Amino acid sequence: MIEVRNLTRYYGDFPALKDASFRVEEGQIVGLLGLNGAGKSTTLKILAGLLMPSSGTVTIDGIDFEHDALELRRRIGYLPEDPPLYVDMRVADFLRHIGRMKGLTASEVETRLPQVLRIAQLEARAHQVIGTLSHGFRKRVGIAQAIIHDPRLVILDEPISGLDPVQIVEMRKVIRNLARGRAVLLSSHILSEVEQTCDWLVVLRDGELVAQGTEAELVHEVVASRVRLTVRGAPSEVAAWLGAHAAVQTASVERTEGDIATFLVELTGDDRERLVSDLIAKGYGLRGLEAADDALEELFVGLTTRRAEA
Amino acid sequence: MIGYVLVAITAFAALGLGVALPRAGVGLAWIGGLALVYLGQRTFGGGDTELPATVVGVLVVAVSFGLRVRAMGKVEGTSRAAHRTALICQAVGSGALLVWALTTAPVTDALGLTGESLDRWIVSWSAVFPILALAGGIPMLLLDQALAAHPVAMPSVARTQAVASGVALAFGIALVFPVNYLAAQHDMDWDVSYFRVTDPGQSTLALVGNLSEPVEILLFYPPNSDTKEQMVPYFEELAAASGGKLVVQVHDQPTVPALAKELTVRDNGYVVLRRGDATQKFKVDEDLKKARRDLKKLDGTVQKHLLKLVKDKRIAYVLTGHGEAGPRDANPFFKLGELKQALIAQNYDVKDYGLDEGSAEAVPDDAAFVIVAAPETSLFPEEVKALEAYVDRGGSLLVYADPGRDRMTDLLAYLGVAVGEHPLANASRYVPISNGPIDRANLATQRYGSHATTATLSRYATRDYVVMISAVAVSETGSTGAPGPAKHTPIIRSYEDTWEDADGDFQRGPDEEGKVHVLAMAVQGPDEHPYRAVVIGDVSSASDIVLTRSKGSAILAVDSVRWLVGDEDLAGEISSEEDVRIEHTREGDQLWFYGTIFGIPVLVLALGGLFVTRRRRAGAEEGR
Amino acid sequence: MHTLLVARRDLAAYLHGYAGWVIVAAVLFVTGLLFQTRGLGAGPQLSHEVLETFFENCGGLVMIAGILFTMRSLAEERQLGTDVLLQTSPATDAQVVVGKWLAAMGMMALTLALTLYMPALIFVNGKVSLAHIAVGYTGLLSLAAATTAIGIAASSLFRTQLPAGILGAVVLVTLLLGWLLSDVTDAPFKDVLAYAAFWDKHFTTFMEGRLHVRDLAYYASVTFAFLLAATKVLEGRRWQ
Repeated sequence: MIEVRNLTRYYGDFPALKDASFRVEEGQIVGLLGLNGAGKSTTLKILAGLLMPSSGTVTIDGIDFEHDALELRRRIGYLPEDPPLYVDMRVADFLRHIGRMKGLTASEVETRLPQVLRIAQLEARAHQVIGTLSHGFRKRVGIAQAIIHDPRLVILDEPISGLDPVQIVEMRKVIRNLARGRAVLLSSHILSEVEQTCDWLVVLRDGELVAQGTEAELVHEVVASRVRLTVRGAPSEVAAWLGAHAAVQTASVERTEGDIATFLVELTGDDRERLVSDLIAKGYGLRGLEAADDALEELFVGLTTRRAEA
Repeated sequence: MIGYVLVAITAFAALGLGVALPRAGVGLAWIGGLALVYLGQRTFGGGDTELPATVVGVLVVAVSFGLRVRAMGKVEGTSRAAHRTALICQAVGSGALLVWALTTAPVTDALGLTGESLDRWIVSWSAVFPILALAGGIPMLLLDQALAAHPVAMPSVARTQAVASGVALAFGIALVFPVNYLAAQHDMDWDVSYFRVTDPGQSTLALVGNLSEPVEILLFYPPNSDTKEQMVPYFEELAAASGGKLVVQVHDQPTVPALAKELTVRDNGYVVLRRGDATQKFKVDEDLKKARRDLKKLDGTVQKHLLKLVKDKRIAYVLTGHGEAGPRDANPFFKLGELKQALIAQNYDVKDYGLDEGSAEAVPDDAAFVIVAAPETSLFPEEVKALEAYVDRGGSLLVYADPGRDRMTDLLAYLGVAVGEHPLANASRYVPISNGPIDRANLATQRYGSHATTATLSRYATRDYVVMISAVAVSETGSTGAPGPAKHTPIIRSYEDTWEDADGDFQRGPDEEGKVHVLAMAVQGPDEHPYRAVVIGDVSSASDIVLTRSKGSAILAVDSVRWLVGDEDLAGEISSEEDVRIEHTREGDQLWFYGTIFGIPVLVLALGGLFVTRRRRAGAEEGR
Repeated sequence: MHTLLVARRDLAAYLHGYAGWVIVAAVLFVTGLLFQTRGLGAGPQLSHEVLETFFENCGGLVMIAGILFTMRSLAEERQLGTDVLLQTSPATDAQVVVGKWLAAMGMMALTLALTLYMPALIFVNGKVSLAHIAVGYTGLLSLAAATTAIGIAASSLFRTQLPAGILGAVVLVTLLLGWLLSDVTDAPFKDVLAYAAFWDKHFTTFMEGRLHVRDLAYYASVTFAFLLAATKVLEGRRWQ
């Protein structure tokens, strides 16, 4: 239902986002993963209609910003990293105001308000002035304002940043509850968060979309192409040979014990057999071969940082 | 010289910006070019610099096109499209130059335009070229901005939106000019500053009600005169009150030359009152704007002229020779100029009455009444005798006393009256003048006796005050020198907390008893000797300074005179819609003063602050 | 609909903070002070003169208050990041701008309503026509409309209040004194500058109790032009 195609955005001469494409389906929680400056906020701002892409399109249920921006804004709820709140208002009054601004009638707002307060776990704070709320509650009010109008797409920029561990657990529940009947797109630079809440991951690095898929798919992709080799032979010699081999993209020494060394090797494809036979033919002693399946943490580091060798 | 420097600087700046800022500078260079042409044609028009400035300006505009084309060549795709659109806008804007050229002398000469057709030509094209400049220039500038923001890849939406915004803004601004032009050309206005024609006052109504002979009122006004429309209802009301004695006619002066000549009315804009052969004439401008002042006091003017027409001129004698207050006194608290004017308006001649006029012998037979206005020194015994004789034969006296002046013991004893020695003072109700304790002698009162002289005052008892600036008490002595029993009526009284300030410190001492003092007394002789007198304890109450500010005191003076001469049925207010000067007579002034300056703002601040604080506190508590 | 929502929200923001009340009270204080010293208290004067002086004082304060009320309007939303709420709501930029302007006008109207007792005091001893008072207040509201529009346009350009306030004041002063330049400039700017005199040409008539269509048109077009400009600034931010 949400289709992002070839999204590119320059700030001046600087490309903040390059040719990114992905989809978000109803009921799905999609996590945008990347380090600071990877282009997550830019992507989300474009989706929220705050920023115009240099090129590329965003459509939600077939509507795009170029043709019916107002209708699109009605279908989107957006929470930036700093929740935008009128701090002089009471929580319920604020949500009523936003609901009306998003196009709900007064009676629609009144039916919707208790549901939203429940989802955001704000019932006890409904009549409190926002300025007197703690950071965690402000984030929740921010989420509440993003869903008050029952949008098709909810965009949350770093929803858990700045929260303490207890609040993070609460927030996770809140986000899970959101996905019913709509799509949720959130960004984070904290892997464990995305891992636990999202159904689909989109990984950005320096403005480029480097991988996407479910957690399992991404892990599989990595597992297939990353192996740990334990070889007997002069480590520097072996390292040089591995680095020059056609099937190997990168190789690095993990540890050495005398003339036995363990290498982490990233393959260009699933060419384990060839590598192994060539290794043996070369006369090195193959002591072990295993998939490097330290999973997502590794994946994240792998995907979001450029290694020195590359 | 300065012109050349200015041209050089502008050209240099424009081209410099154009080259240095390849993205946003082209538009600025273009504007610089237009500015140069404007400078050349208008500011330097006719001078040495006109031609160079114009030529350089046109060149800069041409160069800006070159810069645009160059910028276009450096980029591709949507950015190039945006530059192309900007180029079109620039061309439209430059069209302003061409249109302007149409209005220059060489072109109009070539077309052979002269006179009115030339004017029309210039005016219509002059309206077009600013619109072209705006409609091209503003979208171009916005496009340049968009190009500067998106130097690598220009979103195609940004281009269309920038142009749409620019065109909307240009036409929005362009719309402002014709709207204001039309509004100024077809301006309508309503003047609603304070203005009302007077209603007939009671005394004027009484006057026309007692007319013995018919009076005609002839208004000379053109048919469409607003002034006439405003006046007619007033005169119709008078006519209705006259029982048919007063007739109103309206004439347009040019259409009735014979009548106009007979009445010596040379123009429209005059009101003529005619009774038999006698006429009275006054001017009220036919233009309502100029007539406003006159219309606000129409009643007074009409009454003055009616009195002259229907009443014989009477004479008021003012005793002189003992330092009395009078119309020419230098001290405004003793100057009686306004009183004299009021008497003249009531159809009196006001004459001096001193030794030269025979004050030591007898009061002249033609005296309507005599004014004795606070003499400083005693009257000569012969003068007192003459006045007593006048009283005996039914004469009328208006006597003003004043603290520190002669107490006129003999004359007043003859009337059965005496005046106190010391000024009266009141600590709670007084008129602030000097803002010192001395102000306590400035009495203001609304205590009126029941008498013909105060009938009008009583009617508006709470509206006006009678003001006395340092007054002595007037009291009855119990017996009169004049023959027969006299009727004494206190007409003005003080408030009960008024004391006679014997020690002159304006503080109420323990032995200074507060009580109601009589400030003015009316004395009426028996039917055999129908003399009348009004004795007022303060001459300043009839002074210019008081009469111009205190309506109550003015009414007292005029109604006293009317009663003295037996015209009491004419008593009553002269209605006036003239703006009055603001005066304060209550001690509550201070309250208003501080209430206005501090009270209301503090109230607003307190209520607002309370509201905000309570709201915030309530929110915080709930959260804990 | 959105216009009124924005207006209601902003009006509430004014009333929920101390600043709004302080401005209202300050305006009332200065107006009261001037009314007593230059108006009622300045010795004997004709009632209509007192009223004119009152409108003159009030006009000056309306301009100051107009800038003070509006300088935060859009700038503060940007500063606090709440402009996101407006930009992501299905309200057009014109609705936002007009809503903000209406809220500022609401505050101006409230302030002016609280000054009404001053002309009423003139009635205690003097004579003025109610119509004159009505025309004077029409003038004050027109002045307020144009001033707040200028303030909002200035506020749309900045992220903080202070520069917005300064720019608003500069534009206002230019309009106030621009006619002085009309003598040294040439057509077509000459006539425009002369006509655009914010106060001298268009407000004094209201003060004197004269209602001119041309003055109403002038203030309406200043209001329109600046609100339009503010709208275009907001629109421009979307495509930059």
